[in-house]
Amino acid sequence: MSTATRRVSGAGVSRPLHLRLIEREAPMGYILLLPTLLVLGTFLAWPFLFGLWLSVTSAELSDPGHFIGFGNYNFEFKIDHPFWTSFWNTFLYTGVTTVFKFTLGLSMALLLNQIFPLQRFVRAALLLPWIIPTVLSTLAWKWMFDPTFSVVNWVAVHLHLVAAPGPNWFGGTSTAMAALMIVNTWRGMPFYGIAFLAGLQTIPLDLYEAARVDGANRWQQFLHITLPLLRPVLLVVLLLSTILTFADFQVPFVLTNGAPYNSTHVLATWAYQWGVPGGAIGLGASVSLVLFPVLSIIIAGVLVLLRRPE
Amino acid sequence: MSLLARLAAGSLLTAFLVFSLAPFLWMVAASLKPGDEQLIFGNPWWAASPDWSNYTKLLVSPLFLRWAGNTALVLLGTLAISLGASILAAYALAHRRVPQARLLVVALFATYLLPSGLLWLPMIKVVQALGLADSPLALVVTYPGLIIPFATWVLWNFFKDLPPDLVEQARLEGAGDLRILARVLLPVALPVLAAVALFGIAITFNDYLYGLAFLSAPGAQTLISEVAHTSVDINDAGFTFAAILLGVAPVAVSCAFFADTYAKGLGTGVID
Repeated sequence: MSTATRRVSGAGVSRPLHLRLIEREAPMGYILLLPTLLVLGTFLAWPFLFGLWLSVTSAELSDPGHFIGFGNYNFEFKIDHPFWTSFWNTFLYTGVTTVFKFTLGLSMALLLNQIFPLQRFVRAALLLPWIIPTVLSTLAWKWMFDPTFSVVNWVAVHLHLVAAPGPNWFGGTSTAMAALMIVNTWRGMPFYGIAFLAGLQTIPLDLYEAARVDGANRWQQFLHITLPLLRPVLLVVLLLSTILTFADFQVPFVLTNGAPYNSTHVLATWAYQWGVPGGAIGLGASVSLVLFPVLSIIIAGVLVLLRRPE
Repeated sequence: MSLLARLAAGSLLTAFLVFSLAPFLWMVAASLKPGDEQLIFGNPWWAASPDWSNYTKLLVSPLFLRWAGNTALVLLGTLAISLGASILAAYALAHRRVPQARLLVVALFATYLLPSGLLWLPMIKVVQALGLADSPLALVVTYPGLIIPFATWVLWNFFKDLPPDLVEQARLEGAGDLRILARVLLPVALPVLAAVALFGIAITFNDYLYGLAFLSAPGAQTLISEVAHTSVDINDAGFTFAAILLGVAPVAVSCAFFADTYAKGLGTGVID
């Protein structure tokens, strides 16, 4: 299709002048791109370059600092213990939640693609966690997990799943990490679910019909029709969500902010910890930059996979 | 489907519903519990004798109204800039001969890789230089950076797969770019635009850092940044929940009802 659009212009030699003028495609194209490039240049590219510079300086909140080479990185890698905890937590957090969001999102999409009563209401209800302000929902979850007010434990005890009073969620590293992952999954699942539903709805129904005629059972249909045709949307959602989860700040910051004992920090909150309460902007910048090369490599790999076989 | 399969699907769907909605039920209950029926007593999911005073107090609070106004301003301004810029960009990339259009789109998408934790500190300087410190407009100009890449990409995917004759025909009739967009492309792109707008709203509502970093004067806050600034005590929880439920939740809930349109828009925009 895209090759067909290329052919559109340049055909007419005898056209009126104003038509030939607007057919100077590229310059007009750039003018139309200008607002986008302006916004992204001012609010993404420039801050990024400035941030790169900050990461190799000793800048503090009240002091522009000076160039110190890889001093900040050296400090992180060799001395700063919570840095490594945050580093591995970031991978754990992203890995575990992505697996859950993917599986639950896919099941959600398959369920939503059926016909059932109150369809519109159910779809809206399931999308809601993704749209509602994260500040609000994370705050609510924080108190839902709170040892004194924990309604999570209230439910678990009433269902006889655990003995009263139930776990002190934010008291231990593993339960606190689990709480973070539950909230992130709760919030991110609908993005997967609805996008996958979008993909499912574009699959022509007669494909399934044909497969049924050939005697394929539901599982075979899923494996040989649904999954391959869903592949582009699966990859895009996975890509975007993985990037955003790696950089997630809100949920870990509001829910635990590293508690207990800096054991549940992720790189985003640890960078903030250095940059703002700690005042070491340069160090904070270098902490948040660590993932950039790692992520870029992962993403480059996925983008290669994403390329349509042409 | 067999009865057993229907039953299994039904219970699974119910489980999803309970998990998704439980926090909302709890928030509503908490916002309605009177002072003497503390959160700690009784059934946490139900306010036995609902007390609407949190809500009535808000409705007459000038600060609340100000914050709600700011929230609306930020939301609408952000959407206008994001959609406007990405519509023009997507059109240019799809129907104007921009060299390496596909590469540019990938580059746009790659901006999501830039660590947001790194960007906001230098961004404070940009915001100050533009004279927007402590103005809700600071958010209006910075949020689009997070929305435009995805929006441009989805719209580009949609535009480029439309029949080329559609645009060519209009151009032969002497229509300019803006006219082609307004008369030919945008009318067929409505579901995609809705999907993109919904994505934008979700991104705007998901922010925490920008509001925290750029706004500090009480009058400049949005409902969301105000909560980010306050360390909310459990005793004020009901009041805080009431504020957001009243100020933001109606928008979120009405957006949620566009789930089908969103799915349709993504379906045509993402899958090419």
